Order: sequence, then structure tokens, then C-alpha cells
Amino acid sequence: MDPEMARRLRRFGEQVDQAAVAAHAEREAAADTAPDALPAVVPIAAGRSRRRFQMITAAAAAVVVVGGALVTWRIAGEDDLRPADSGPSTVNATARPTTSSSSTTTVAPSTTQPAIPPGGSSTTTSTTTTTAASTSSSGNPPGTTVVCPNYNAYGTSYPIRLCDTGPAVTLIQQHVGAPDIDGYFGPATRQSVIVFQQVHGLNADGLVGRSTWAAMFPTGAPGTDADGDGTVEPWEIG
Amino acid sequence: MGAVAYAREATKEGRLNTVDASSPSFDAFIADAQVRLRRALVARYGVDLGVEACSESIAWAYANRARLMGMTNAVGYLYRVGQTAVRTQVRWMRAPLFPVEATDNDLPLPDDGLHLAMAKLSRDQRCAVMLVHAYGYPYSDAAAMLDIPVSTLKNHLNRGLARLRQLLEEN
Repeated sequence: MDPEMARRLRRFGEQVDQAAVAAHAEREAAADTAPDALPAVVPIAAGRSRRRFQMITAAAAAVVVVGGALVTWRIAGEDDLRPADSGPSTVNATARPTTSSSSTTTVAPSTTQPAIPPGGSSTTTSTTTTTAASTSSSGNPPGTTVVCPNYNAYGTSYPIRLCDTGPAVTLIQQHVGAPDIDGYFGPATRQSVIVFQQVHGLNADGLVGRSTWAAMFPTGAPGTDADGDGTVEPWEIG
Repeated sequence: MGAVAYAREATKEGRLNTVDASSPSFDAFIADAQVRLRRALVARYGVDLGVEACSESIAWAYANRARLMGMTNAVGYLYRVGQTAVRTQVRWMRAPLFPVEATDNDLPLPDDGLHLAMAKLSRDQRCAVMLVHAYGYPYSDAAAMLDIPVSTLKNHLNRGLARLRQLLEEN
């Protein structure tokens, strides 16, 4: 192995170690400060039973939400609920993600620090809730999830958010390891951004603001600094 | 390897080497094993899920202490326990996330894609490359941690390095 690659790998190992130690410390701190903090040593079977119970509870809550929303929709009438300027989209599609119910519902489970390990239950909860909320407000057939029926080009201000599209989104997807690198900021890309933000100790909100953009490109993004402020912003990517 | 046999093997590398009936051998063994486990599981699943898997594995170790002490390769067994603990999350997991490679003046880089290239390797190849080259474990230690034969580890390592070079050149 050539010396440069060996040095790169050793340095990479140090960085991963630091990130893992920080993540472990954060996890321990969250477990200690949670109101119903679990004992430090928890039998693995008990942990699984607790997660299974939470998954079942979350699924039942989602069914109740869907049923209630469908009943309300039928009573109120379809025309009264659908926004005038939307096609098949829903409130959550045209409204900004920070104010829409489905986005809020999606964000909350992912960013909280429960006493229970966040991996399985939160992922399941957010997936279920997103489907339920989108289905109930969009009028689409059950089982269909439409979060971003329309993708819009981002403007000239932060943040880059869900349902945006453009060359900067492609760069973001490459950097956070999104499953599809297609230039469209969908739910999968947003989830990858959240994970990136958690790893780097940023506010994990799924929005690519100035801090997140700087963390992704510490030495500067590829592009032309058109406004001469010393930083290549997302809207300056060619 | 069991805690006692592990301690004797570890003497040469300067690691834990005092295990007897009167010392808190299990706690010391866990303290050393935790570092190795975390590195192996983080290499396999990324930072977040790897840390969770390590925590679950250590919790299991404390709950099954007597059973663990009688094993020939306790660290390797705990690695498997960690894998099992997060198998549900792994099903939903996308590409594992690693920190972005930092740049410095004495090692200029043509690009900063090492963390992305690492994420694209298979889990076995990534574990082998990281344990042997990123963390510097000898073949025997790395194979024991992953609970695989040394020949299998070398296989993963050779293929992983070739794939890593190819990915970095493409990038």
C-alpha cells in the first residue's frame, strides 16, 4: 500500500474514533437525563420488547389518525379542504416543511433523544406517521405517499430544504450519502441530511443552512463566488 | 478468545495482561473489548448504528457475564451479539455515514471522497480495511474481532482495497 493512502486511512480511523466516542457520550448523556431513564445495564430481550410495544402503539395511533382524518374529510367535503391552487398535492406539499403537519410529524421522532435507542422505533414511527398524515391530507388512495409532488428550484437564500431541486442538491446528496443522487431533495435526502447533522453535532432539522453547508464543504464548495463574499453559496453552484 | 487467554495474547501488544481471580478482570476485559467492539461495529454500520450496536452488546455482556467468561473468543461473540441487536435497523438503513475526511497541509488530497468511498464498500470489506489499515490491528486480532478466519479477512482486505482505489480514482 502506498504511504499516502496508508496515512489517509490512519487519519480516517482517528476521525471515526472521535466521532464514535462523541456519539457514545451523547447517547449516555441522553439516557441519563431522560425523565424515565433506564438503568445502564438493560437486558437485551427487555429492550426489544419495549421497542416492539412502542411500534405497536405508534401503529395504532397512526390508524386512529387516519380514520379520524378520513371521517372529517368526508363530512367537510373534498372541495372545501383542497387548496385552490394545488393539483394532486396537499397542504404538506405546497406549505413550507417547517409549518406543515406531516413534516413536523416526520421531524419530531427523528430528532428527539429518547431513553430508548433511537434507531428502530423512531424510524418506524416516523415512517408510519408520514404515510398516515400524507395519505389523510392528500386524498390519495391508501398506501400512496406524496410528500413532494412538485419540486421547486431553490432561491438565493438559506436554507435548502425538502422539495427543492438544483445542482446544489446534487452536491448535498453526494456529500451525505443519499440513496439517490438525482438533484431532488426528497424525504430520503432529508433523512440523510439529518443523520449528517447528528454526526457533526449540528441542529438536526433536515434543513441545509449556512452551518450545515459549511460543515459539508469546509474548504469551499466547487463553484464561483459571484457575490465576492468569500463563500460559494448553494445558488452559486454552476 | 476467553478473558484469560486473551490477556496472555495481549501482553506483547501492551494491552490488558493482568487477569486473576482477585482482580476485577471482567470489568477490565470489558473496558478493552468495548474499544475493539465499537471500532468493528462502527466500521460495519457507521457511527450512529455502530455505537448503538456496541452499547447493546456490552449490556448483553454484563447480563451474561458467566457465559461470556467461558468462551474461546468472547470479543468475536460480542461482535455477533451487536450485529444481531441492530438487525432490524439495518434492514431500513441506507448508506452508513462516516465523518468527512479532514484535510491538512502536509497531506494534500485531490478530493475529499474517502468517507463516501468507504460507505460504498461492502460491510465485510469495509470492516477489514478499517480494522487493519485505519486502526492498525494485526491480521490475527482483526480476524478474532470479526469472528472469521485470517484467510477470509485477507480476502476481504484485498478486495476492499482494490475497490477503494477504484472508487477514489473514479471520484
